[in-house]
Amino acid sequence: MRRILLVTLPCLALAAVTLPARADSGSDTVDRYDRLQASGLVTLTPDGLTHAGDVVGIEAVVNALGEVVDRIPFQAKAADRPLGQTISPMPCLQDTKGRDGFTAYLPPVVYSIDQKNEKGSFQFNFYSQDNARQNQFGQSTVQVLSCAAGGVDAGNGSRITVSGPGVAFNDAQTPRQIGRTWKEGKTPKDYSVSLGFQVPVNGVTVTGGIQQNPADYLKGSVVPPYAYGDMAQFHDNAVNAWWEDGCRPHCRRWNGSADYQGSVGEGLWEFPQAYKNEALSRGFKYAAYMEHFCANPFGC
Amino acid sequence: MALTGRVAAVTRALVLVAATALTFAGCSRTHRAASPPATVRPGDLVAVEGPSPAGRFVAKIGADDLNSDLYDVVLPSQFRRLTNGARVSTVGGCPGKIVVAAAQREVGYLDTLQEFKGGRLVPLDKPGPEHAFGPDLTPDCRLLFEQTHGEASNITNEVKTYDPETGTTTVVASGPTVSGGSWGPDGQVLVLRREPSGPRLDVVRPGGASQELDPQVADVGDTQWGKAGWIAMAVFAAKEQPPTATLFMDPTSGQRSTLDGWLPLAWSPAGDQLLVRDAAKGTTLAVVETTDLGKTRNVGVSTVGTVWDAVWLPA
Repeated sequence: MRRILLVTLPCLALAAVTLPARADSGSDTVDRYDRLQASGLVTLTPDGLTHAGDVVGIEAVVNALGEVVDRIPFQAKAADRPLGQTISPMPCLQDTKGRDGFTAYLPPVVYSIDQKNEKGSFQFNFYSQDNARQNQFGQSTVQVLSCAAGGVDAGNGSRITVSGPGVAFNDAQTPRQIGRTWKEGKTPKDYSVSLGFQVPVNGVTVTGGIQQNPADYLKGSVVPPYAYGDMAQFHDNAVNAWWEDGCRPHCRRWNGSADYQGSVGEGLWEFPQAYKNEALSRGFKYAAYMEHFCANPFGC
Repeated sequence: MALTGRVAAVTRALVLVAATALTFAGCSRTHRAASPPATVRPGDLVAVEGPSPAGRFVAKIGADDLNSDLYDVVLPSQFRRLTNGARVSTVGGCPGKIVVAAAQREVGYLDTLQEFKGGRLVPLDKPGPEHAFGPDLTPDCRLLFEQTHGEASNITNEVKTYDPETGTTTVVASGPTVSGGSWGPDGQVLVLRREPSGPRLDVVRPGGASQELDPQVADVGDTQWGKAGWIAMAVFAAKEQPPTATLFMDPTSGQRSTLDGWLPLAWSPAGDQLLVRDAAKGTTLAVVETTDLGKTRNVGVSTVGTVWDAVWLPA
């Protein structure tokens, strides 16, 4: 028995020290969080197709001060699932009424979070409208709209504190964004947002919807919910929408959510019509934000 | 005050120098008038000369061509904002009516024909809140506008007119190279086509007869036909570059004249004066008389941004 304890106790002690994103066993204050810092690039083609690259980055383990104490490589494949076969429960829908020049790019970019204790998916839809506007010289513009939705469910002691999608036009220099929307405030049970293209005659309304447990807050910004330089540099061209637990930045281990939580946002970008092909091939950065911690002092 | 007086005096002197230089430059059937000499660049002038032009001015003004608002302008320098965040693209008007193509959030950020009524933009009653561009109105409020159909690789543009008296919408011109239109002084429609070989202007008369004009430059835009007969248009010396000059053409006599450094905004109701803005910053406003298309007279300065488009209505 003593021999067993001699082996087991050091192992437990080692695990308690090395396990990331946990609540401090000596107090209820969470002193480790995991933050997903990964993004992918999707390019669009004039004939209406998406080409999504892998999602690459890290899961950063940060302490209560937000300082990175560990980096775990993260990679996920964007799934080229045909429309209608996604696992995402929060579709972006377009209500087309035959508008000329409207394109819905297929397939939507779907990428799954498939960690041991955190499961979820994020979906990014892209649409464009040719000849959206014309200036006094008869020069036209094209607009690109992205509807991004998604969220994460946690289990086995893992609790979510941030969850939601982000998308940005892949240009950190020239502001192209003309509109963005997300839900703000207390989380309703289900809701939707829409932005752009819903002109009174022959309009197209792109609506992103989501259902989730009504708890805490929905937020959005042009910058990510936590430090993540790769997406933050696109703040002039970005929309980030997320669910956030009200305990942040100092959570206790009974805080966070073990339910499905996420958000939905839409962004609208405008380009000279002559620049359309270049804009589509420059592409859009997409990301899923997820911050979670382990509420179990012995690990999750 | 004293400083302002000194600046005005210096400016008047410089403008006098410019005018004298132009007088000695002479004129010909086809001439290029170097309106502002090197020492008096458009955009640098802050003083105005002479009486303000008579009439009412409504303009699209803002720092960004695609993010501008509607202003009521009293020359030389009163700019009263009429809209906020309206994303006005183009403006047209007739006595008692201002019609814009604007793309604010309420209309899904797409150009939609709207009327400025009761202090705000409202969807156009007739022919309706169309997704359309470039409204232009005759003095008796007949509407001309443009629409596009088809996908990017197969776009057909249409120039349409709408007669509020009969409720009739007529397609005046259509085709993949049609790029804009404006009313002529006697019911004609001026249609701009951007052909691979360069821009062409079609004068479409009410009976349907058409006359083609060749501006003989890389590109033109913002074509406007004054009541006195002159057509003014912005000239692009090179494609994909900002416009740099105003070209005047008389479709009857074939006369041409170029005004460097200035872009057209609006003809006066009588068609004898053209309101122009400097091409560099777009904040200095001047008028050009049809009696001397090479001479500008400063009439105002915008302190609220570039003046992109305007209508000039009777007082």
